[in-house]
Amino acid sequence: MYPYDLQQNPYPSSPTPTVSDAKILGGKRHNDGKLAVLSCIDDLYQKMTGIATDKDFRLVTVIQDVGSGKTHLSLHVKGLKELSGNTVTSYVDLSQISPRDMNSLYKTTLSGFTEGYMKEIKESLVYFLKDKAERNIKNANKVFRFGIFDSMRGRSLANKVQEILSEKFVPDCSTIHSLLREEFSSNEISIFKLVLEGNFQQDTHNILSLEDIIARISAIAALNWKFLRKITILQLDECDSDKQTLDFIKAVVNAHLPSTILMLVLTPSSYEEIQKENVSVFDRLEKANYKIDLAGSNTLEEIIEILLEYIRYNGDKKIFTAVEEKDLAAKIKVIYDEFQDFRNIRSMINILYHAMEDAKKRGAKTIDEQAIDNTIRNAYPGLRIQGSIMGVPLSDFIKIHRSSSDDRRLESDVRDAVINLLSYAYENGSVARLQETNGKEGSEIDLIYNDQTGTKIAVAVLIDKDRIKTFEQISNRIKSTVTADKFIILTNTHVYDATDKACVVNIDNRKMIDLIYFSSKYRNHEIMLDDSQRALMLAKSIKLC
Amino acid sequence: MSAEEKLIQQIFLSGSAGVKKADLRKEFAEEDIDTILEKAATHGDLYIDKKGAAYYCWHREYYLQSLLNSDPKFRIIYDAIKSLERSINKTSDALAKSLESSTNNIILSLSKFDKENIGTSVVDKGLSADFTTQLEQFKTDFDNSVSNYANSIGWVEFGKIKNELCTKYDVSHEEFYHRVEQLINKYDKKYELSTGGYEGITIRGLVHGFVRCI
Repeated sequence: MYPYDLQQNPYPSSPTPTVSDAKILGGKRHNDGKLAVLSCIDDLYQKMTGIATDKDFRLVTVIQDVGSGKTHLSLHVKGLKELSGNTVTSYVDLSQISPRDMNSLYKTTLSGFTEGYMKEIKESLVYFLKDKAERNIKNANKVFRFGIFDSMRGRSLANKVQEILSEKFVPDCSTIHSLLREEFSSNEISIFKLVLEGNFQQDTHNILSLEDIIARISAIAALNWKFLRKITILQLDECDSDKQTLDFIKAVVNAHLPSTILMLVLTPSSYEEIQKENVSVFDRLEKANYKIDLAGSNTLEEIIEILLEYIRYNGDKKIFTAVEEKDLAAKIKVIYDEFQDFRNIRSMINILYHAMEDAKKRGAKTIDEQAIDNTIRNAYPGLRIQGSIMGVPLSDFIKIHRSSSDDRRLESDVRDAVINLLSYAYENGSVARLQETNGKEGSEIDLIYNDQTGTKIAVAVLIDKDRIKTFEQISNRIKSTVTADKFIILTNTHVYDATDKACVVNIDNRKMIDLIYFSSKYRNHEIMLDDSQRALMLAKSIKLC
Repeated sequence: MSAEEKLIQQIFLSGSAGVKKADLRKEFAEEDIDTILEKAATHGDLYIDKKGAAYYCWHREYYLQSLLNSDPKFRIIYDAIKSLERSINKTSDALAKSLESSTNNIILSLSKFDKENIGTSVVDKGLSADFTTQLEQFKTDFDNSVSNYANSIGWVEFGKIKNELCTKYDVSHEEFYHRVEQLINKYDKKYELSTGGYEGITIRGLVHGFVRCI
């Protein structure tokens, strides 16, 4: 059992999304993007009248950096059940097409339609012909090779239809042209025949030019509308400035394919390259009906929302409660804050995938600090917490970081840590004399010591989470009754003043965590040789030695 | 072993006391020791000096010690020079450490400069205030440039704004990208980077050559 009582790991392990992974879509920006696409579809659908015309074409662009979720969004839209009743989508990953020429582009576009669609359109066409046959229109019976012997044997047209749909029987398409030429264009009839014969995706043999390709795609879109009342969506992912691709896009846009939405997915870099390569296409992209902008797709809030959605989708709300969500979000935040490399959804999903597996192996009920630490250490062995002198493991870092939200406890922990650090420095001869005040001498001073030159130094720790204290507040400590040659005030408050006698040392979160981590090791007698050198370096870094 | 080698070895074995040239002449009666000694002295392998009424030879390893033993003035001067040398070395080391420490502090404070965390060091009011002001000014100009050069969806290549800002601030391209990094670290929610382009900021080994304000 995985954490949060999940039956399976909710996070995908593949570096790029699959249709199955894309069922889940989290994050405000991504959902806004989805709504924009749905709005475009709805808008077009509302405007569609009886016959699809060249006015019913829309261009949508999705432009964002690699790993930001563009492909995920495209596949999610393609797989949306709510769209299955009014759209047909062909998803094409252009990066998989090589060599890139007109034929290969057309072939991949045809392959981009699903098997489900193939069955659906075939069924519609067959029933359309059956209807004609039943009404004895022209030679519609011939398509079904339905003759008198069939009637005598008790076979009906319905039987023939089932045989065609179950691919046990191939209809006779020799009379299709004469049967349909008054209602359909020659390209539509050709597509009709290919569908009936089961050769839809092998149409490339008959195509000679870009003009033919556009005419064929146009015919497919028209048939989709006529028979299925569905809009055709062509999704071209990984668009780039390849000449053949740009010619193809330009032709599709110029042709105003009926009842069609062309959805182009590209990066800002490729968008810029297209501008340089083909101004004409760029101009068309600039005038896209919808420009889906996933701005902020790599922000912490977006990433947290996306990551939580995977567990929400697969899990039980009673187990993955708001408290659990908040807890996991806090851990994700630490990773996000501390490792710039992971500030993208692809990397984060990978981390949580491994963390889930690790937690499962250890029988953990949640994704705990240990799972994340193990993941980072195993999957990214070279990574360290930036700026950590003590080399704090991520698991400890997360634990201390989380407990530091309690101001009082934080100040107390840091104070103890400073006392422990100076005690250790005293034991090692880096400090000459140590004297804890315990509030007796100078109520605001935490510790007094003599450095190696005999200078008497008084140390005060002032941690204030709201960080609004002024220097006056801090200097009150200096003005205490303690007699010392020098005062050191350790604080996380942003002050920019110091005096000749007072040294104000700002310590950031990482330094505080270093101190608390050291303190814990010191208390537990776990200081090793390496730690010893680091500890003294830590003391120097905050001007204590 | 040649006669010359034997001679040098004999002098070496005499240590800081040295060996009389006359004794050497007796011992190596068959050799032209004057020529050999002159040659070795020219190469700096040994020293010939007068001690009392006689000429003595010292190996280079022992001549200094011989002088220190025999000449108090020389020893005083030598000690003074050594003391000076130690002092210079000490100062030089301290200077190097101080430079290293200062450099580290500057790098640390620059790299850790974000709105929540000020780097750990004694804060120099002037330096921090100047840095903040400079960064804020740079931000204003940077935002303007992004706005001026951005395409319809807000993206702009760093290369397009680099020259303008480098000229304005009279900074190198490296310094420009350094400042951009500081800016983006500080205001990470206000900027968005994208991969691609020929130059920019490298993250995860990828060159991010595009930026936009969000």
